[in-house]
Amino acid sequence: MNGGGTGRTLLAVAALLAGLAPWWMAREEGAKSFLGFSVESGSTGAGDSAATGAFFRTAQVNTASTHTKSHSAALAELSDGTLVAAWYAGSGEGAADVAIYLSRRGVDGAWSEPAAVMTRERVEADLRRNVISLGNPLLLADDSGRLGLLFVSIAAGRWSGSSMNLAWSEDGGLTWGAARKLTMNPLANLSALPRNPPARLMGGGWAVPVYEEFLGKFPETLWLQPRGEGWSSAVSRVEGGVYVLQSALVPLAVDRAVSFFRDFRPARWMSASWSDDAGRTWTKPAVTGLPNRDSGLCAIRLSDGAILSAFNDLSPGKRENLRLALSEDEGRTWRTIATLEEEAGSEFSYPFLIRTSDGTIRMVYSARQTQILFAEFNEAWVHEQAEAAR
Amino acid sequence: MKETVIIWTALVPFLLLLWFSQRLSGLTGVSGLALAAVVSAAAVWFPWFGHPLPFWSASLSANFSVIMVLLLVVSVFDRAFETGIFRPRDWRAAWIFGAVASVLLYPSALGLGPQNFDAYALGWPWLFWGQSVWLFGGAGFAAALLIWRGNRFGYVVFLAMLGYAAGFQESDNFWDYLLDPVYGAVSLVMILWMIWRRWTSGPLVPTSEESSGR
Repeated sequence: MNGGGTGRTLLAVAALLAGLAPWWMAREEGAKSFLGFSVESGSTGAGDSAATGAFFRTAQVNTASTHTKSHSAALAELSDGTLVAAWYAGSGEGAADVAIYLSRRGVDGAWSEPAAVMTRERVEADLRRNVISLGNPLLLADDSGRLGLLFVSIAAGRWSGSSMNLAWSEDGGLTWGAARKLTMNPLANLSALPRNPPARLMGGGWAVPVYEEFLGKFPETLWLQPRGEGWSSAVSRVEGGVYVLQSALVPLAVDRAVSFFRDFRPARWMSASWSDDAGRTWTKPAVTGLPNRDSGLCAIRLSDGAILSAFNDLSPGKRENLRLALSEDEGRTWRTIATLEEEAGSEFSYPFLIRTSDGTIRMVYSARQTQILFAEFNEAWVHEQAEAAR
Repeated sequence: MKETVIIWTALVPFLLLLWFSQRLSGLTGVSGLALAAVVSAAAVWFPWFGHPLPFWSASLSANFSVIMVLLLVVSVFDRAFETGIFRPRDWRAAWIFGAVASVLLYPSALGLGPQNFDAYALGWPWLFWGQSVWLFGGAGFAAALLIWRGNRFGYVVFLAMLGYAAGFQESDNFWDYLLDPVYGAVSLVMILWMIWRRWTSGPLVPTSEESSGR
């Protein structure tokens, strides 16, 4: 073999090794990424019937709002018990004046004056690229008090021209670090949106239900994994095609979870998929007994393992009511137990449920896409409603 | 935003403008390249609608592939100095690689094809560690085979893999170092053109220059 041939052979071996080296180095991180969901049974609620009795309370978060559009609210609990709500508001969906607003609810139970924490101008400066509007915020609160904000920025067109960004706050959402772009797909990174509550992972990371809305419309999972001072992000498919999106991810055990989908097929039933390998793979979506007229829904697991869902039931208009339903068989069958809102010609949409550390169920949703409403209730109240509905 | 991403989003429009200005002006040699480079650099930093071109190119995509950038560099140098860095068979390998990668990646990434399979997920080595060996090993094998056979496109794939190890792009998905929609689309067009030529002109016969492996 001549010198050139030997050199080429050595380079060929180096190329093969260069291809495999990043893969081999990722094995430890890969093992951590699917350690499983962090599932806690927790308390049955501050208002456990044995202690304080069943309760249900409501409030408006954006009381003084003058925006003609306020929508897609999300909620999180900080490590000190403070509740934080985020939503987008402005003159209209996709408008240049839309900003991400945030309000905090302290121990006195009052919501603070909403503050615009991400504006189009600020995000444009952080990302150094064109931004025409913002939307769909989601909050990630970890045990150390850090608060993450996932939100979309639209570069062109409407939601199909959106991409995802992540920013962190070290002071509970009062001030925020620079937003950074997350790469979610290979086609100009277009069309990825978050919607429902994230699930904590045992390795310290997050599994965030997200969806794509470009040529296909389908649900995915965004995996955020701590890496050094920063985070690694990656996306895996839940289901492809063009018939389900906006999944509500409910961990059932360390390696088991169910996802419920907004379904826009003519059958008008909410569909569900199950995973037995910590979210790596999912079953084909199957229709459940809960109606869904192509509208956002949310679900959480209660302390006894039952699943509570907030959804828009069928009505002459699209989202004229907001109801709660309970499933005791991991989401296969459902029983409607309560009606939270019902008004002809009105709209109540995008419910967002969390169960806080004291076991109380907290919820935000939009009314007429102008008001961000808040509800809190305990499991005793849920069981009372379930008994009454039998 | 990483400093390397800012540089990358400026480099891509600069190289594209350089490539076009060379072809439009017909200039070659050092002086031609220098003139085209000055004009392109000025156009990159000129505020178009209030912002320089990197702002707008990043709005379109901040993840132009290493392979596309290197192919642009090769093309610009070959045009300026007639160095023949890439021979026809090297270009053919580049178009075949881009077309095959596009067919493997984009349909599944758009939610088409097998419903819950997404080839893009294999580009994050830690996500599905076991399966992603096919992408990383496949790219390594392709580069090794091309280099071993004396095809210079193999070095370009090799450099893309080194780029991924350095992690200078905004994306940390391996696919984004290998492929982007522009390179993919050009590759598919070139492959179709090669097939059409084969249909109309008969089999492509390697030139003596290609046969010699120079």
